[in-house]
Amino acid sequence: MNAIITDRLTKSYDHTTNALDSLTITVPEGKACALLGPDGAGKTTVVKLLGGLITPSSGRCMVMEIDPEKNPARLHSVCGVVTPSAHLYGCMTGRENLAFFGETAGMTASDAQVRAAELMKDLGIWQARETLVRDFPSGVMQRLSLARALMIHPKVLLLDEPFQGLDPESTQAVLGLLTGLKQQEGLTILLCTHHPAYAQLLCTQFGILREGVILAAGGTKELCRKAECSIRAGVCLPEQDSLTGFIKGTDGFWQKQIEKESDMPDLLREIVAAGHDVYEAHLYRPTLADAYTALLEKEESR
Amino acid sequence: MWQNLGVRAMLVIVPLLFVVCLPILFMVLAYILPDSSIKDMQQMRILLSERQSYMNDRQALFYVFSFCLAPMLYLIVVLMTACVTAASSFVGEKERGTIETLFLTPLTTREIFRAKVLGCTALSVVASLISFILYAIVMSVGDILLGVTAFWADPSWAVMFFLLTPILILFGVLFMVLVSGRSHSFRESVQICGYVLLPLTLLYVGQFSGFFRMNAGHYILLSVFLAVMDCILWKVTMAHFTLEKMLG
Repeated sequence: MNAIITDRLTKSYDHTTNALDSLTITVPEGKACALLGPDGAGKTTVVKLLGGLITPSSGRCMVMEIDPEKNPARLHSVCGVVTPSAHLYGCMTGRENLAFFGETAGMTASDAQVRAAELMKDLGIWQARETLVRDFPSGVMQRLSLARALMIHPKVLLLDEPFQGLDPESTQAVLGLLTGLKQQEGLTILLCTHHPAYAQLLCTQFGILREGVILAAGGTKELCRKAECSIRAGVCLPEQDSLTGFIKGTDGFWQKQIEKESDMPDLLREIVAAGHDVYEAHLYRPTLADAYTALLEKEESR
Repeated sequence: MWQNLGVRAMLVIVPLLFVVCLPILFMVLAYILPDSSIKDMQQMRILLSERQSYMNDRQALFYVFSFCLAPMLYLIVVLMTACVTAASSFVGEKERGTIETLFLTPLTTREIFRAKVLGCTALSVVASLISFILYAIVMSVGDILLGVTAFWADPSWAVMFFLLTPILILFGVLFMVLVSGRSHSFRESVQICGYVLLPLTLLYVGQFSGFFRMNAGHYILLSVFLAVMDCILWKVTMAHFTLEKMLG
C-alpha cells in the first residue's frame, strides 16, 4: 500500500503564485522519502497539506487512505507531524507537555506518562523532564517536538526540518531513533529538509523541490545521473608537484573526472609511470548533496 | 492563561477596581459629605422614581450610583473578563504558536472550539460570580450605613446576574473568536473588545442622562436579543474556526 499519495497537489496563498505546483508523489508504506529544497521551495507547504493544517487550491492527497482535508482528526491518530511553527506550552514541563498531548490522543494518564518517559530517554532529553519548556535550548525543544509527534505510535511521520538547531550528537540520536522505528515498526517517513547529508542517512528516495515544482526525483544514483554528476579520481602528490588535466581541490587532492570506477587503476598506473610520487588515491563518488547542488544550479542558470 | 501577567492583571485588578474600589469610594463620599456640599441634587433626583422620594440627598446619591452607574461597571467587568480570557485562549495561543500544535492532535476542530469556548465562559462566569459577591457585600454595607435598600430592593440585579451575565459572557467570547483571525497579538485583540464595550457604555449614558430607565424587563429583552446573537455567532464562528483562518 502507498502510505502517502499526492495527485497534482497545488497550493496558492495569494491566488497569484503557486507555493506548490502540481506535486505528484507516492511514498510506499514503511519507506522513507525526503523532499529537498532551499527556503521557499514549498517543503513546509507539502507537510501542512499532508498534515491537514491547510487545504489545497487544487489536486488531492491521501495519507494512509485518509483525506487530510476531510478527516484531519482521524489522520492525526495515525500520523505524527513535526513543523518548526508548532510549539509546545512554555508554562508546562517537557513531561507535562508530552502527557497532555498523549491524553488528547486518548491515552490514559499513566500510559501517557510511561510513553513520555520512554521517548524522552530515547531522545536523550530525560534530564530536562522537570524543566519548563520555555527554558529549553532549541535543540532540546526540537527533540521534544519529535517526541510529541511519536507519542501516538504513528504509522506515518511528516517531518519539516527536524534537525534544525540540533548539534551533531543530537542529530545522530534522532537519526538512530527514526531509523530504528522505520525498520522495527515499519514507520513511513516523509522528511522535508535542506540538508541532503542527513536525508541520505535516513531515506532512500528523494525529490528535489524548487519554487513549488519537483525538478527531479529518484534514488541517489538516479539523481546523480540526472544531474550529470560523475565520479572523480583524486590523488595526493608532493607539494611542489602538479598534474596536467587535473584540478586541485580544497582538500589538496588533484582531481579529474572519470567515466567509471574501473578507470581508476589505469589512471594511477599512468601517473606513477609518468614519474609522480602518489601519496594517496581517493575515489570521489557523487553524493546526494552533489546532485542537489548541481540540479539547483542547472535550474538557476536556465 | 493565568501565567500571563497582563491577563492576571485584567482578571483581578479591573474587577476589583470597578466593583469594589469605585463603589466603596461612592459609598464613603455619600456617607461623609455634608448635605450642603452636594450640589445640583435636584437634577439628579429626576433619575429617581416616586418610591425613592423619601431619600435624603446622601441616600439619593448612593441610590443613583447603585442604579445608574454600578450596573454598567459590573457588566463591563463581565464583558471584559470574557474578552480577555477568549483573547488569551485564542489569539494568545496563536501568538505563542501552540494553536497549530493543538490542531495536530486527534481532536476534531469542533472539540477544540467547544472546549476553548466553554473553558473561557466557565472562567469568566467564576470571575463574574466573585465580582458580584464582592459588589453585593460592598453595596449591602453601603445600604446599612446609609439606611437605604438601594441594592437588594432592585430585582433587575437578579435578572442581570442569573440571565444576562452568562449570555453576555458567551457573546463576548464568541465575538473575540470571530475577530481572532484578524488579530496578530493578544494586546491588539483586547483593544478590539472596545468595540463591544462601547454599545454597553452608550446604553448607560442614555440612562444616566435620564432618557430612559433600565428595569428587569429591559434586561430580559436584552438577554433574549443576545441569546439569539449567541446562537448565530456560535454557528458562524464554528464554521470559520480552521487553522488556516486563525493564522490569517
